[in-house]
Amino acid sequence: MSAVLARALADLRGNRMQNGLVFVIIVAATATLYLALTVSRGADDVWDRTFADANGPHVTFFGPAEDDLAGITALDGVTGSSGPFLTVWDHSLVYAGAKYEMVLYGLPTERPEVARPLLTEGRWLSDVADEIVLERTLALDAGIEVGDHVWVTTAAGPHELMVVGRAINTSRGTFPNWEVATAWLTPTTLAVIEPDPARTDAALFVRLAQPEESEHFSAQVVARFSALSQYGNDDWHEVRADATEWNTLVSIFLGGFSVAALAAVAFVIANAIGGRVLAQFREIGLLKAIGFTPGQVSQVFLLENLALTLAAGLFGVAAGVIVAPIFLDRTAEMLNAPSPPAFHVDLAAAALLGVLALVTLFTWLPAWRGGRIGTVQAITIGFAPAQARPSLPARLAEWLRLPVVVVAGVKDSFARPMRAVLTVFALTMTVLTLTFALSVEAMTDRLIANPALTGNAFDMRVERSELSDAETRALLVTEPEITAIHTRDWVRAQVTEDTGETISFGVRVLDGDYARFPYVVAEGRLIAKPNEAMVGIGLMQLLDVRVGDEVPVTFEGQPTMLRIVGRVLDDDDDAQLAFVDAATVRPFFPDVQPREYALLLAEGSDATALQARLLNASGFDLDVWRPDEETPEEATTIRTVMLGLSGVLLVIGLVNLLTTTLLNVHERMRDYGVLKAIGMTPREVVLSVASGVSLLALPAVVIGIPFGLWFWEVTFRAVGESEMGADPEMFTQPSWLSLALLAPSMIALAVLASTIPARRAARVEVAEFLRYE
Amino acid sequence: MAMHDRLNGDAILVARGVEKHYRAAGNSIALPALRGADLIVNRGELVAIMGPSGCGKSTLLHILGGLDRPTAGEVWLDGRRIDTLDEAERAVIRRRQIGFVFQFFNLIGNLSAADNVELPARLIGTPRIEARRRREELLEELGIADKAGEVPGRLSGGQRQRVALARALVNRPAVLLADEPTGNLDSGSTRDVLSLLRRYHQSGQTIILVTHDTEVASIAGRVVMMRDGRVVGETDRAAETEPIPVAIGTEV
Repeated sequence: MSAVLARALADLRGNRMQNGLVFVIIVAATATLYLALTVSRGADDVWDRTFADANGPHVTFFGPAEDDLAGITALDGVTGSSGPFLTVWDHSLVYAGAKYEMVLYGLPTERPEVARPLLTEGRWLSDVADEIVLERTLALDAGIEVGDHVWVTTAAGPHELMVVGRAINTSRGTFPNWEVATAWLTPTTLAVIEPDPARTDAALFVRLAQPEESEHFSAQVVARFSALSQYGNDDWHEVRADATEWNTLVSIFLGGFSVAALAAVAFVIANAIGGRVLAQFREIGLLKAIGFTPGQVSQVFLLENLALTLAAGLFGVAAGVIVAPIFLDRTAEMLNAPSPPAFHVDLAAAALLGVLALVTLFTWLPAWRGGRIGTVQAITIGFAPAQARPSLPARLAEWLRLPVVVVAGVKDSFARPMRAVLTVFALTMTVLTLTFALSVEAMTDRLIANPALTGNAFDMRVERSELSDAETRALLVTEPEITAIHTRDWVRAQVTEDTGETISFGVRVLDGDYARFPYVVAEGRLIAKPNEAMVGIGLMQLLDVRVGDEVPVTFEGQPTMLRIVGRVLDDDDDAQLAFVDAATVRPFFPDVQPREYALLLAEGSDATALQARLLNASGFDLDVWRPDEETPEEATTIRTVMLGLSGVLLVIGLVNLLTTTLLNVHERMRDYGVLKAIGMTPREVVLSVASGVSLLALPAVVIGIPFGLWFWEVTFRAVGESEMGADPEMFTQPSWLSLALLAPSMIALAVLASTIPARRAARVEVAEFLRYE
Repeated sequence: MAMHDRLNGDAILVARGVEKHYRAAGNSIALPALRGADLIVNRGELVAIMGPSGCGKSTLLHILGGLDRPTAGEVWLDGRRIDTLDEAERAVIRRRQIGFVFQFFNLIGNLSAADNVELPARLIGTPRIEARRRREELLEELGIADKAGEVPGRLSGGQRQRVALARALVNRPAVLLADEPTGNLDSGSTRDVLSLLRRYHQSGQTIILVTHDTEVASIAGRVVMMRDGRVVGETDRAAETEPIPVAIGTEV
């Protein structure tokens, strides 16, 4: 055994560059695998813990008054509840010139049992008037500290409050993912903010015996208590998905790329080991001649590679542990939870064992073959015969009358078909990944450049709090840059399925010049008449309806018919929503006044100045928002993740290529000497190697790009459409130009990567090698 | 070219005061392989360089063929000084004007015999048809036309050396350099290769061969003796009475 060990160590020391390369990619692959495992476990854990600490509500019901909700607590399946509490909407918080839309809960000085706000800074409310506790992420975003004073808009003007604490809310999604932020006040203070009972709602926090059935439960409640039909509810599944959504997304990507990275590692290992065996053909013969058994020869290879893999794997796990907080901190930050640990022994072991198993698998066959090499043959011939007949690519190169130097390089690259195939495979994975990344980038760019694709079909959106509809319109009309206005309001509708199940969904009510706005209607047409509806793809799937169908719905318990005339793009509520003209719902909501105004601006208008003017003119009552104001955070995150992962795959692919080329050159070192002896210049040798490499990169590009596009489409359909309510219309492919540039870039990179082995070949000292056998 | 650069009009290869020192890695001591070797070879000569192992004969041959550069001294090939040229320039000269035959054949393993022979012709840009014709001709002359499609691994030592010889001659080089061409061959193959060398010499090919075997050296018109990196003596058979052809291995 010690002889085997000694031999293995000697080998490791002797092949530094190659071993170095294999080391690098195993580190990369292990790190990626570890990250995938850790991230997918991470966020869920944090959220679940926070939810448990807060005794979070499985459903939060809203209703017009406390009495309407009280009956719910007595229902079967309810294991606990808090409230009903007074709730007020449509008031805004103003701080440092910025406005935030709020939902205000009136909670007692004794924090409730269910949906307990988790204090992170400061203290809870006391009997002292005009205190407020803010949702943590809002306060962080706005830079509001405990002890600061904020203003809340009221009919009588802004009302000053003191911030006594910051807390985490588990009953709703966090700001800014959910646009309306949370704050808590005492009922007394709340009454000062909103004295009108007609504009005060109520909220009830409920825990269920069967949390998984929360949606079903909510449907039953709404069916039973019709007063609640317009009020909607917050379900813990949504809240949880929101908190973990980012991590889910990242996990999917990381998972997918781990697979790709591991596949690439497998190829490289197989290549490197196979090549090592070939290169050491003679040495193996000698080993056996001096008494190594076939088993021991195999053991040498296995030992070498497992040792290398173990060392690299440990580094990889360490790298993963170092990088993991970047992914884990985000969720933890949101929830003010301590970051989940970056190091999990079981996951580290899993990643390590996974990579070790993979390497063992791909080392075993070549190692076994290495042990089987005929001793005499190995010693006397000294090399494993390569393919004698020119391979297809070589014959093609000949036929194309390419220079003999190029043909020689091509012959070299494909002299060992298996190795060439493996290398091409690994490079194909790289190209596939890059194509995928380009596609994601293209779609992200398109969605950002065209907000209408996600439903923001306007240049600017204004929301009023205390100002009346008339006052708001009066303000808007004075601005000549505003060329069109329509109002958007929000109600809820119900549909009763054949099964008796009631489904509740949101309905956008459009009134005014909406036909002039760039709503993206993917199928059918824009609504034009009462009782026509456009629906998002999510709703179409939910209700199983198509354009042209007539659907019976109820508003406030009163039935009517909607005819679906079009499919519109809007990613609110996972596209589970409908759009109707105001005339459709006016019979059911005669007194409702619109709160949201969508604006189109004239070409070349100064939107920032207009925004400022509207804010000032309205005394900061209006909330003014532009879709182009900020790049969605998700986009930046996804970009970073894609960039990182593409980088990893690129490194792996090029390293594989480098390994192969080094092996090829190493094997052919003597031949390069001979070629130089018969008159090939160093430059011609480099050209020869580069030609061979290009020919490995070419099929990778030809196969990788279409496959990358296909893979993108599959992912989009599977993840985007099914999971996130993305409309097929959003699907974007990268431009032909970017793909056209990808091909030569990849080939150029490959050739660049080959310069090291090429220069080695070119620098072979002819006289040196001729001196010895 | 200056006056002293123009020599005996018949000289094809001239080495003057050639020195070669090797510096072992990390070692300040230089190991001298050549200490001022002088040699003139005329067109059409068959010269053998002999000497004990380590005397520098192979080193000298490599330098004469432009495979290596001397540490000091001059080397002239066909009136042109080559020791000052860079590697690429020497390669270009080598492919046209020098043919090499080695002790260990040094054929390209994954090319057939025919492709091996054709390679130098293709390198200098000979049209494919012409290159093909020339290689067929050589393979025929050397009696290995039936092995044209085989890879070196499938050929015997003697056959491989004949392929190597064909390759060396394909571009009709000014000089053929052979380093222990029979060192790895059995006696039958040795006889064949020597007879081929003689034949080409008789048709005008200039040949310099390095050997430690006196019987191999006996086919040469002139034998140059080397010791310790210098030329120490010469025997010019051409100047003697007509040599009696001696077949290798026959008892005299």
